[in-house]
Amino acid sequence: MVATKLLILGAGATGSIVANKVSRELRRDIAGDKYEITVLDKEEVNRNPAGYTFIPFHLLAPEDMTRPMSMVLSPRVKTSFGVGGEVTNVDLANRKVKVKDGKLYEYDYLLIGTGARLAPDVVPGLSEDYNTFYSIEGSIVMRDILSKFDKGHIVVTTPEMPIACPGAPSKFTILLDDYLKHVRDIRENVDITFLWPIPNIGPGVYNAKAVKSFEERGIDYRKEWATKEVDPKNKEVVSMNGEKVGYDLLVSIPPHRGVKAMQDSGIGDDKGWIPTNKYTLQYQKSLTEKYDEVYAIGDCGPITMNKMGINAHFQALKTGQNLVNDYHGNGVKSIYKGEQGCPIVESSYTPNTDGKAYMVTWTYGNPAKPFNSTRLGWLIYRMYYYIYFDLTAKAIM
Amino acid sequence: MVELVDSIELLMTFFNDQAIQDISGLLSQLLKLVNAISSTDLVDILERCLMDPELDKALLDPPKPGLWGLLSALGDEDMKRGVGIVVELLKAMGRACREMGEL
Repeated sequence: MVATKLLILGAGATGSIVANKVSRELRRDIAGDKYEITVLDKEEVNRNPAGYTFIPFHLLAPEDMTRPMSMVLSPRVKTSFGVGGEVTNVDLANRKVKVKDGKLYEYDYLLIGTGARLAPDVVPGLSEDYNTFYSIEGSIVMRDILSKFDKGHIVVTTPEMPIACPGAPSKFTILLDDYLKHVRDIRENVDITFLWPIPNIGPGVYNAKAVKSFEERGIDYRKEWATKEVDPKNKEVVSMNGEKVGYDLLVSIPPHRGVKAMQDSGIGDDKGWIPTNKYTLQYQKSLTEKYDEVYAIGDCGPITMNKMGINAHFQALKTGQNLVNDYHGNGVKSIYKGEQGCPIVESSYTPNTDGKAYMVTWTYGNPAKPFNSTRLGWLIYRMYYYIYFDLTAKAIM
Repeated sequence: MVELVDSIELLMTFFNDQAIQDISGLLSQLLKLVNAISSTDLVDILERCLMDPELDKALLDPPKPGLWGLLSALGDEDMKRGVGIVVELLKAMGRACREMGEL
């Protein structure tokens, strides 16, 4: 008997959740050699990027956000990491995936969870003065920079959307303000400017709270301010309409793109984002060009879909169930209703303040409701990061 | 109601970021157990075997097999299956131990 093959590209949040859920549900079929799951990833370590925002402020350690792959993925799953897991080509028509060391994988079902790639080069000059907390290495460097920064102007800029975790830039800025005020005690020597490319910071109720926080804290915020270029020599950021803002420290959220292999394989759009049906998350480039055996979820999905951890979480659990249903051929579909959300932070945990946060959620049909951040919200939010690998990545819930 | 709110307030004073980190460490270990329990048919086997009527009888009046009794029990087909599972369980423990040691 030939085993049904599920191939998973990417072992981040979505790949891990799907691999662990499907391997749990189909354990008897795996033991009977009727089903096989293989996970490919160029990384050797499993990471939780959602917590990088906290690292610069000594609220989380880098090791809290990383685990060895084998501590996250079920031993029932076959794996290949490094060059043997780095995808170079995806051939949907022939159901084949090629990796960097030349090996070819065939599949019956394909789950693409390759995430997004940071592309600072897209903004002229940015790479020459590039400080970001959007990578684990960057967040550690940012921690060191901020612990020595004594005075001047810090500019937090997001040149363009979409980005992963779009609440993170405003969250970072609030945490920065509290850190400089209550931990470093130098806030009066520092100006903070927040540059944001679109009219709202998240949904309306989220935007209202974020803006109120900025105003109360004396943070200069400018919306619809898309960064066109960075002039590292004169330490200025320049907007699309020519406005300039000087800085002493530039904190950037780099433009995001889909993984290059998806772009090169012609399965993504011109920026590498993979088109899917918004309810089933199955690959759908057009009404005629679609592959029902292929799912693309998480940050790698279409440009129209928000790229947030909660989206990835719900998409992965539902897609895992749908892959089990597909295998059984029972015709049942677990529909993605656009469950999504973004945590908001209104106060950090410092010697003088309690943390206050809330998880704002919404779906395709139900907008976010008014809310009040709470201390318990902060504590739950903090707890989530510590238990992420054993709760979420293992697909417990 | 006021008392309830006051009690929650009181409880909240014991919770801070450090407490949450410590509780999370404990919770992570418990979640590993939850994952293990929900991911194995061994739980189903254990459920059924612990309700076995022969086991019920043995618990009321435990048999006292000698060496010969033990050896002859090994000839029983169910006993062989049980030993097989225990042997595989021990081997799996060894593999997991080796893999954890390699991290």
